[in-house]
Amino acid sequence: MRISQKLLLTFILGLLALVSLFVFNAFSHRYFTDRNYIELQFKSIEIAEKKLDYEILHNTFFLYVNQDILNQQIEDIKAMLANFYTIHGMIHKHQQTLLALEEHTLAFDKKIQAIYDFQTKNSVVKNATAAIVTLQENLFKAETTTHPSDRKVLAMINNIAGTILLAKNAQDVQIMNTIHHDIDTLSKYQFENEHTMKLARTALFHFKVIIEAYPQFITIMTQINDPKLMETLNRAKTLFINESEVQLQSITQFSHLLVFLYIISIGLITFFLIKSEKESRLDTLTQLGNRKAYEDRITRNHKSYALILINIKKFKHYNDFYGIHEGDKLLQATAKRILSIPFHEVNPTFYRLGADDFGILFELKAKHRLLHIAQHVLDTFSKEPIMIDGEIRTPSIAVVASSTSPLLETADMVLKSKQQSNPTLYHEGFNLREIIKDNVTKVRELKEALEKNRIVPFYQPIVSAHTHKIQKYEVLARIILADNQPYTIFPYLRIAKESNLYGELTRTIIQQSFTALAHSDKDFSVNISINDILNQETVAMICTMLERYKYIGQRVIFEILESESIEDYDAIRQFITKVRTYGCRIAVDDFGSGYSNFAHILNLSIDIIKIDGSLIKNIDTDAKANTIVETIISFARNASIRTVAEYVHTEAVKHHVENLQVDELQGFYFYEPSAVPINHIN
Amino acid sequence: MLTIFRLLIVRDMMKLMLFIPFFFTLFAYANEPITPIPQSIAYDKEKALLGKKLFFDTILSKDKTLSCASCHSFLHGGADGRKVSIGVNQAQGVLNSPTVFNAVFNFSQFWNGRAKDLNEQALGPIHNPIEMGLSLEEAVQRLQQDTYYHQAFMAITKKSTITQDDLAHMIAEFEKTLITPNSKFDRYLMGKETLNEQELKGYTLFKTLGCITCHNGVNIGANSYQKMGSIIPLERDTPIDDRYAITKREMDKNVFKVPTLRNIALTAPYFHDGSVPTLYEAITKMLYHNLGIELTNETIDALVAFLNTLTGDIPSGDQ
Repeated sequence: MRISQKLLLTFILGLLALVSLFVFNAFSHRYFTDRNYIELQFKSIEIAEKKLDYEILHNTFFLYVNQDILNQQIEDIKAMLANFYTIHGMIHKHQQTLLALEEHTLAFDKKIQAIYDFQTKNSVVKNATAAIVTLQENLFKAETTTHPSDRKVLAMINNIAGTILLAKNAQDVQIMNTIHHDIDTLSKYQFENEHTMKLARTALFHFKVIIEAYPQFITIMTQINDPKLMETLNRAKTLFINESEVQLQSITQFSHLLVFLYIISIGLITFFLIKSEKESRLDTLTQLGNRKAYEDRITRNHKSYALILINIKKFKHYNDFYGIHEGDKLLQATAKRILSIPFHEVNPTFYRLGADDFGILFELKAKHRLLHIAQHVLDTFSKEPIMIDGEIRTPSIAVVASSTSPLLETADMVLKSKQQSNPTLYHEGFNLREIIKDNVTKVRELKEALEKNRIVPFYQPIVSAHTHKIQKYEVLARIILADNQPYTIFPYLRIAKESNLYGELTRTIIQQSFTALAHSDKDFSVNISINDILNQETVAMICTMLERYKYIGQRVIFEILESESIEDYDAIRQFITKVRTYGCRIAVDDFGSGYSNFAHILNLSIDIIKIDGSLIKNIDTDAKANTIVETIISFARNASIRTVAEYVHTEAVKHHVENLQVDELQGFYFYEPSAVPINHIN
Repeated sequence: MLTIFRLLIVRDMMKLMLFIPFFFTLFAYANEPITPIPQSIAYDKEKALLGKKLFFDTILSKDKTLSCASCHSFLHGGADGRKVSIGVNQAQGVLNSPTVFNAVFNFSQFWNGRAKDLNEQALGPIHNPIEMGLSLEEAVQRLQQDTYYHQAFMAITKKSTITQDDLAHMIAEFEKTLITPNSKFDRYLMGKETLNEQELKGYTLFKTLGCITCHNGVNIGANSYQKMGSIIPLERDTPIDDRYAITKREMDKNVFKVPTLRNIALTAPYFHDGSVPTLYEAITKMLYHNLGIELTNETIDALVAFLNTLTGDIPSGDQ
């Protein structure tokens, strides 16, 4: 999976979780808002209905009542019930609640009818009851009779009135029934006094009205207080809570889903993290651990590890020959082979540490067995060939082992040291680290010297073998180090080549020596290597200098180092042709030491041969050297080439080479190199 | 044993009853059962203006001789001065025209409360054959064809067609405006005016005699259904639009919505059948049949004096 896809997946998951969270929030917020609101509505209705009941009771007992209040309460409750249909989500989510509410509304409509009836009957009962008291008072005031039956009936009226009041307050119809007989008696009785009679009639009307209306009133009150009304409301409320609970379940499920999603995304991110961590420690080609994995293991544990480094020799050549694709195949096959080694050491881990370097890291328990283990590894390659595309392509393998920290560096040093044995163990003798350190120092010193013009030419006179007079000078490069002392450039030459400073080195010497000797009358020779000849900048610079100082070319001798293997003779020939046009002469330096080839010398039409110091140094005692030098001189004379003997350092040597009839001599016996050309005759 | 116990209770109850008026007096001062009419109530001016025009327009009667105002005359306290109103083709019903003033405060409309509010009520008389006698379809059609009304309705409803509901709605909106605040009695309740001795006596009697039981609230009535002749019954010879007409229950015969006593001095003749021409007679009849009492002239005069304080600011009938 590509990184962008991973990012996208994580982003989508995150977004999903975010959106879900938002939806969940909105959803639950809405849910609880709605639920609270609706529950509040139920509560409000319950309270309103209780208030209504109170108002009815108020109407029953109190004479002065504003019935608008009662009517208004009825309208309010009707509006509240109707309002349920407009509440958000009621119609969709609370069908059952609404059905139960409809039932309640029907019950409430019945109650409203009962309340209207109550208003009608209550007025009658209330007014009639209130009138009774006044009537009784009037009767007592009006009646002065002492007639016993009149008094008896008056007492009866009293009793009826009392019973009615009692029955009314007790809301007991039974009590009301006990006065039927007295009412009958009263309705038949004739008072003597006409006024009394009239009052009694009126009282009788009221009694009758109450007796007739009261049972109806009680019935109506029963209807009003029908418990079914509260039951239907409670049922609706219960249903609503149940339906809400079901909804709440879906909210809970949703929140579970959210948590699940969250865990999934965390898990996925963790998975990707671990995977990418692993991948970053894996060499994708060979599936072995890579350098990073190796470093991790080395630094994590401080155990006594050993490393076996396996190098495919000349892998570059293999790659050039078969192509990179086949090279990869070889690497894979090699990795496979390494993994298949029956390795019995403690906790071995396998790595690809460089292009063609493989490593086996393990905990070393016995140091003396390391070579044995390395041998074991090497043997697995020779036992059975590696086959690729049906061909045997077993690579040439170098195995080195090290138990000296830092393991990889020490092992690598052994590899680079062009060791002779295979396998090789690292030991302090390699001391490669010192070399590397020295190299680094030298590069720095060389660079610094070049920058500060502290590479300077020294001049060593060359004398005639006959007259011992100074014939010419050899220009030698010296490096002036921090102690302001000149040192020979020789130890820096290899470094200069490797660090691409060689050309600059040559050019500064040529430039300085040409300038210094421009107005001298002596000849002088400068060293020039095949590197310089192939360096166009250097060649161009030489030409410039030859142009600048007229006739200087006739005094200049280019000493070409013979010790180097020369492959491109055409380039040398071109260079020689070019400088000869300025009158320059050519010498072969260090002749007799390396790849000296007489045919080449003839082909290049050399002017001077400088016989290598190693041949001269012990010529007075070394018979072999004597023979070689004799042959060279003989060859040179026949080819009309002049000869120079280097390293003339003793009287004996001087004497010896003079006898061999060398043309010119150079060495400490005569002159050491000096910063300015020595110009006197010894 | 039980008899003695009962007698004891009866005697105690009698004593207690004597104190009851005292309790009520205390209570009444704190909270009168009659409330004043507010100075104004919320209504839609545009609609009310259109409703006003309709109210006074004869276009809504079959022969274009009558308007709502014909039987709800502003000169007769929003009612008809006649015993019963005369409809199209000189038709006559049996019920006295109730006042349109303060009708908005009625807990239901018509004598027997068959309409729950003004909206429901407004169309009734238009298509009643013995009143304006115009079918509602035709009424709407007439308005639709009338350039003025068509545009006026459209301006309000934003619809090209006029519906029966729209018609009712406009008239009802106008009727809302017909309230009569600032009667002498309301001002007394608000502490802005005093009643004279007779009027005050009348109000006290109104309460103590039991009139207040049915005539209370802002409209001094019109908030419950009561029976004509609840104590001493009245005859009901011919069928009439009482509650019985709706419920068919025996107990609902002669039961009507209690009429308002607001502006009662202006709305003679009285009762559902307009059978009584004067307040004096109406009070006498009510006292006898519905309270079962007969009182002196002096007492009735006081009650009349009280009822006269109930006349408020009459809305102008100017168009």
